Amino acid sequence: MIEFKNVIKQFGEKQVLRGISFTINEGEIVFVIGKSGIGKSVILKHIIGLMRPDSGEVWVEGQELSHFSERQLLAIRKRVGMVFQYPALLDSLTIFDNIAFGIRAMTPEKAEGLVHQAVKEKLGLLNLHSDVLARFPSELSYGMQKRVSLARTLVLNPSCLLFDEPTTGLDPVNTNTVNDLILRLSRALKVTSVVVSHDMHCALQIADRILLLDQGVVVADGTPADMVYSENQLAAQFMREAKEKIYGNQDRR
Amino acid sequence: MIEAIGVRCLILWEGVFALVSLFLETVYELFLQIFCARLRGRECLLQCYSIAVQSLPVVVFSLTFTSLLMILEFSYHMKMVLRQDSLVPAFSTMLMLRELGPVVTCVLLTSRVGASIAAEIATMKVTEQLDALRQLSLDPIEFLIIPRWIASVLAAVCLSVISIGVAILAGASIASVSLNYPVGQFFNTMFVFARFTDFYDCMIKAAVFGTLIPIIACHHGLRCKLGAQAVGNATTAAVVQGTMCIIGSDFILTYLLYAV
Amino acid sequence: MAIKIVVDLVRETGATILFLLVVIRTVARHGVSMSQVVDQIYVIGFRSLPTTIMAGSFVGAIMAIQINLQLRDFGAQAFLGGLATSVTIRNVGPVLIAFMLSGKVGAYTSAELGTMRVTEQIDAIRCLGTDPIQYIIAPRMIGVVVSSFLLLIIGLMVGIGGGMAVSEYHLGISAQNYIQNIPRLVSWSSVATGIVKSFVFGVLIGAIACYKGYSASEGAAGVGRCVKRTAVETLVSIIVADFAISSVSAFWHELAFS
Repeated sequence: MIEFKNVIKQFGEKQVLRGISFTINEGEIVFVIGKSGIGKSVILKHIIGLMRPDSGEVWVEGQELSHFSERQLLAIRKRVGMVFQYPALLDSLTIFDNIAFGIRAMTPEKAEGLVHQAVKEKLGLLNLHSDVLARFPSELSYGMQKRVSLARTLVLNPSCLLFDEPTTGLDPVNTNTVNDLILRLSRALKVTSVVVSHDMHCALQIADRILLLDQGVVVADGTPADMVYSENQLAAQFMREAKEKIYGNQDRR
Repeated sequence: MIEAIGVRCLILWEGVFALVSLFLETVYELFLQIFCARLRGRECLLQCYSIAVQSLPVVVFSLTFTSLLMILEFSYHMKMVLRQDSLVPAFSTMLMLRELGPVVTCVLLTSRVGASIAAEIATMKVTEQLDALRQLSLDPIEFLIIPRWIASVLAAVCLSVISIGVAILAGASIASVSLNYPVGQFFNTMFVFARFTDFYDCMIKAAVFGTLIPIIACHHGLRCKLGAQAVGNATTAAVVQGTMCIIGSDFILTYLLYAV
Repeated sequence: MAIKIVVDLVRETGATILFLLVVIRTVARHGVSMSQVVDQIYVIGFRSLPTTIMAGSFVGAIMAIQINLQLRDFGAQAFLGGLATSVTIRNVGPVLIAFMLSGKVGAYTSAELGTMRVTEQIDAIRCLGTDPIQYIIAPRMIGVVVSSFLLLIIGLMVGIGGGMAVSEYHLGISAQNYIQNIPRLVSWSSVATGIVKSFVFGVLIGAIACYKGYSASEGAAGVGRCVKRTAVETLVSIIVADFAISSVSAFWHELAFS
C-alpha cells in the first residue's frame, strides 16, 4: 500500500536518502527507527507529499506521487493523515476550530452539525473533555495539545496515519494512551500506521514490523523478534535496553 | 479600560526598571574589570571581530548609497532655493556627519548585532547554558555582556567614522560625474558648514547608540521566557526597541547638541 | 569570499521576488479572505501607530533643527518651513520611519511566521488541505503592505507637524510662517515621491518579512536568524530603493524643467 522504490533525496550537499526501498502493507503498524537526523521524518514527509524525491518513486495506495500537483495531493491527504512532532495547533483558533480545520477545508460541503458530531466523537477516543473545545491552544498543557493534534488528524477518518515521534515529551500515562490508540486503530479500523519513534519499548510492544535506517537506506527490516535477535550491530544496539526490559536477562551475551 | 492601561504601564515601568538596573550593573562590572585588570581581552577581540568587522561591508554599502542620495537630494533642493548648487557638498557632508552617519550605521547595527546578541543569549537561556554558567561561578554579565558592550561601542564609533569617510569619497566622485563638480573643490567647500566639533558630535552619538544596542539586546535575551517562541520574541523586541531608542535618543542628542 | 556574498545576495533577492510573485498569483487565482486581511491591518496598524507617531514627529523635528542651523547662517530662515518639509517627505522621513517599521512590523511578522514554520504549523495546514500561502501568508503580506503604507503616510504628516512644533517653540519661526512656506517649496512631484516611496517600502517590508519567515530553518535559533536577516535585508533594500526612486524623481524633474 505504501512503497518506496530507490528514492534519493538531497538537501544541499547532504544526501539524506540514498536509494531507499521498502514496502508497507495495509493495516500494518511499522516503526521506523534510526539515529537522530538520519531522515526518518523526511520519509514521512514524502509519503504525504510535503517533499518530492530527487529521483525514485513513491507509491501510496496505487498512485505514484512524485509528480503530483498540490491539487492532486489533496486526494491523497484525505486518506493519509500526519501527526507532527510539535502539536502544530493554530494559536489564533479555538480547539474546536483547530480540530474541525481539516474537515472544513477538505469537505466544505459538509454540514456544520455533522462536523460537530465528528469532532465530539474523536474527543472521546482521546480522553478529552468537551469543555476543552472553547479554549485556545496556549491554555492547554503540552500533553493535551498533542492529543488535540491527534484528534485533528483522526477526524478525517484516514486509512493511513503517519506519526512523527508521537510520544516524545509525554508522561507515561499519556504515552500509554497514544500507544493504545495506535494499536486499536490498526486492529479495529485496519488503519496503516507508520511511526517514527525513539521509543524502543513501544516498538517492541505494538509494532508489526520495524525498519532500521542507516546511511540513507534500510539496513534491517523485520518483526520485533527478528530485530531483537538480529545479527546487525546497529539493530542490537538499538534493541538492547528495550530487549532486557521485555525479554529479561536470559539472553545476556 | 483604565485597568488595562494601568497594567500596561506597570509592565512598561518594570521593563524600564530592569533595563536601567542592568545598565548600572554593567557599568559597575566594567569599572571593576578595568580597575582590577580582569578584562577578558580575547573575548572582547572575538566580539569585535564578529560585530565590527563582519558588519563593515553592509554598513559601508548602505552609507555610500545614502551619501549618493544626499548629493542628489541637496542638489535638487539647492537649485530650488538658492538657484545654485555650489553648497551641495557642504550640506550633504554636514548632514551625513551629524545625523545620517551615526543613525543609519547604528540602526543597521541594531538589526544585525542586536538581533544576534539577543538571539544568542535567549538561546543560551532556553538551553539552560546560562544556568550552567552561574553554576560555574561565572557571572553572565561579566562573561557575556561586557565584551559585547565594549565591542559594540567601538564598532559603532569606528564603523560610523569609516563609513562616513567612504561615503564622502563616493559623494565626491558622484558630484564630479553628475554635477561636474571638481573633486578638489568638493573637499574645500565641504568644511564650509561641517566643523570639527561635528566630528566629535558624530562620535558621541555613535558611542551613545553603541551603548544602547547591546544593553537592550542582552536585556531582552536574559528576560526571555521558555519555549519555541521565546527566542523569536526576544530577537524581535531587541531590534524594535533598539531602533526606537536610537531614533529617540538621536532626537534628544540633536536637541542638546544643536538647539540648546 | 566576496563573490559568495554577492551570489548569496542575488539568490536571496531572486527568491524573494519569486515568492512575492507566487503570493500575487495565488491571490489573483484563488482570492483571499478579506476579513483576515482587515484583521491583520487592524492589528499591525494599531500596534505600530503610537511608535510611528513618535518616530515621525522626532524625524520632522530633527530635520527642522538641522536645516535651521544652516539657513540661519544664510539669513534664509524664512525658507525653513518649505525646505524642512521637502527634505522630510522626500527623503529622510520615509527612510527613517521605514527603518522603524522594518523592526516593529517586519521583524515581528517574520518572527511570527518563522515560529509557525518551525513548530510545523505551516506543514500541518498543507496536510489538512489548505494552501498556507492563501490562508496565512497572503493576508499577512497584504496587511503589512497596506498598514506600512498608511503608517508611513501618517508618519510623514506627523513629521511635518513635528517640524512645525519645534520651529514655533524653539527656533523662532512661527507655525503660520512655516506652513505658508510649504507650498512654495514643496512641489507635487515631491509629494508624489514621498507617496511612491511609502508604497515601495511597504512592499519591501512585507515581501522580505514574509519570505524570510516562511523559509525559516529548523530550531529555536532558526527563528532568531530569520529575524536578524529580515531586519538587515529590509534596511539595505530600503536604502537602495530610496536611492533608485530619488534618482528617477530627480531625472524626471530635470526632464520636466529643462
